[in-house]
Amino acid sequence: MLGVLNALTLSALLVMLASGLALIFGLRGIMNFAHGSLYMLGAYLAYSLAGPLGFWPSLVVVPAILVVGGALLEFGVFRPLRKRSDLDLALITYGLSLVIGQVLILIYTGNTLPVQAPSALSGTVHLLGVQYPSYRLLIIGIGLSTVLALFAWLKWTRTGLFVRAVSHDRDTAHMVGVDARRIGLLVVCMSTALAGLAGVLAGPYIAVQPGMGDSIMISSLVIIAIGGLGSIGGAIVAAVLIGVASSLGEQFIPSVATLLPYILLIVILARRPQGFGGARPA
Amino acid sequence: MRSSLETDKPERHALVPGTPARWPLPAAMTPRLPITLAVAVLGFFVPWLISSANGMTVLVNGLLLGLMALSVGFLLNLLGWVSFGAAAFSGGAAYLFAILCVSSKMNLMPAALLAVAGSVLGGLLIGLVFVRSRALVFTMLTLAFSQLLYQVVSLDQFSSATGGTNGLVVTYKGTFFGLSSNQLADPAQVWPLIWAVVIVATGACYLVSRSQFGRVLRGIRENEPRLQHSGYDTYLPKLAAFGIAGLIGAVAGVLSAVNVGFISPDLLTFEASGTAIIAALIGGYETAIGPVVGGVLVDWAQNEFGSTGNLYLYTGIAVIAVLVLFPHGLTGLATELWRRTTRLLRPLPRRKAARDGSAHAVD
Repeated sequence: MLGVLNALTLSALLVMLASGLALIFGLRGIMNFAHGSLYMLGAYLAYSLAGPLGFWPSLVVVPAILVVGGALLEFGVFRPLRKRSDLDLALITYGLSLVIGQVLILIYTGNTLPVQAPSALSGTVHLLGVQYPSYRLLIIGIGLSTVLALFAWLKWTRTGLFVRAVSHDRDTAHMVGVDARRIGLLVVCMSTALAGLAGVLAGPYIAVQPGMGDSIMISSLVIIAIGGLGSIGGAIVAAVLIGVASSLGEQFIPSVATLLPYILLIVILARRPQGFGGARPA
Repeated sequence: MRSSLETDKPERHALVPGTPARWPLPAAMTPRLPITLAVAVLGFFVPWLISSANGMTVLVNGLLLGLMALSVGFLLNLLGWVSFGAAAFSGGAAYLFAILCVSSKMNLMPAALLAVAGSVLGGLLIGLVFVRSRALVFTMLTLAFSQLLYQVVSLDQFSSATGGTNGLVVTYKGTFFGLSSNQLADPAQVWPLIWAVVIVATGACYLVSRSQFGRVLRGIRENEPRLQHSGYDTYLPKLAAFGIAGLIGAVAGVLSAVNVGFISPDLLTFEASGTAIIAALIGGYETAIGPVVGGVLVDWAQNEFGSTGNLYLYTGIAVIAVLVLFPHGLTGLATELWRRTTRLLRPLPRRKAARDGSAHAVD
């Protein structure tokens, strides 16, 4: 049971990041390589705010700051450079991720910073026959509920419909009166806010350190590739699959557990190049 | 879905089968061939010019990085594919070479040849599956594959052969094109060999991109279904292109292992592939020499700024600046400047012809 819970914790974190990546990719066809460093930025901001504000307010404040970051990204990079190829934009975000990562190291030094879970959640809970850290249950709860809410929003609301419409065919959506630019801004801001939220949650779970963005970025890329690039639903399924495979692999075949996500990716994409979701946003 | 998104971007490459090839250039052709030959010959004398050992090391490493970047740039230019597999090919070949030398006690030359052949063969095997996918999925697959290799060589179970996470010192016996192991480790003495390889590789890439085969690849990049409807087989050309990229990457990896005499999982990281891609972009992947120029520049910059501890910051800024300001890289910028200068020098009536010709000269 411990394995299942660990798998869910990891999946919850991964799915928040992967769905943010998938949102931008679905809408603009751009792989945002800066996503991992925005997550890292979220974690470092939460570390700074833990003193003056405490943990709970930072769950709201940090994503709010990252919304501003998303707006900067949209107005500073995606909009002025929209005529450029997807590849150019992806590599510019890669450059951005290098800059953000190094600036964070300059500010916070490269050391691992400890972040405490809020005192109310520092204990363990008896669940499914095991003692499980209650903080991790919070990650599972927030992570999965956020992403399911995102999925429902895309699927059943008017704005969500617009997002799907723009993802499917930007020009036609624009022609029938959807403001594609506003939708673009909204989606980028949501994506960065999700990265920030994941960063806040990751602090007490995984240590806050400079490499945290890169390693989770690679996992998120694997997930959205398996899920079908740009598909939120596919990303959810893929994140759970990767989380379960990693955690169970850790438990039963620890020697090759690190290989599992990549083997899964290669096998699945070789059989089904469009991934689980086949590029449908929701 | 993708196609509709791509329509609001201008076509970056105008060359499709049927449109005039870039070559032969219009009457006002630049004296490129003599210049190229002169540079190629003079390049062999670089060790006489640069006396500092450190400078030579940077140059040799730069050329090796340039070869990796060439492997990336070749696929990027002709097929529009971003490969994160450059590190997989070069790192994989380096590991294969090290294992053959250290564990199998093979001589240098056969080990090197076998390592290159083995990597290309392995590359073609995975290519059978990988090249069927569309561009972004291909990127993901190559990324996953190099990560997979990275994890495999880091495993403790194989550490007797691979050295695990600590890496492995490569000791070898025998000679390599007449060079002993001491000479191979000396950047000034190994320079002619590596320079020759770079010339052959860039020349081959240039010729391939101008050949019928290169045109088919460009056609696939622009519109694969149309090419299929025109009766072209698109699978084998893609596989062959992947194999060529793999060959260049593998040669770079083996040469690097021969020169440095040490391998570690760092060869296979995400950063290793990323650096090769950055080198290709900064140099400009639309020319054959661009990635090599980029490789030398990036390696020089890494050496120059690495000690400040802010290498990533500068790299990031450089990547953003080059991509925003010079989308065709530095060689693209140089070509453009050259074109403008020569246009000014040319007698007036011929300007129009040159302009018409240069409209197709993006590649």
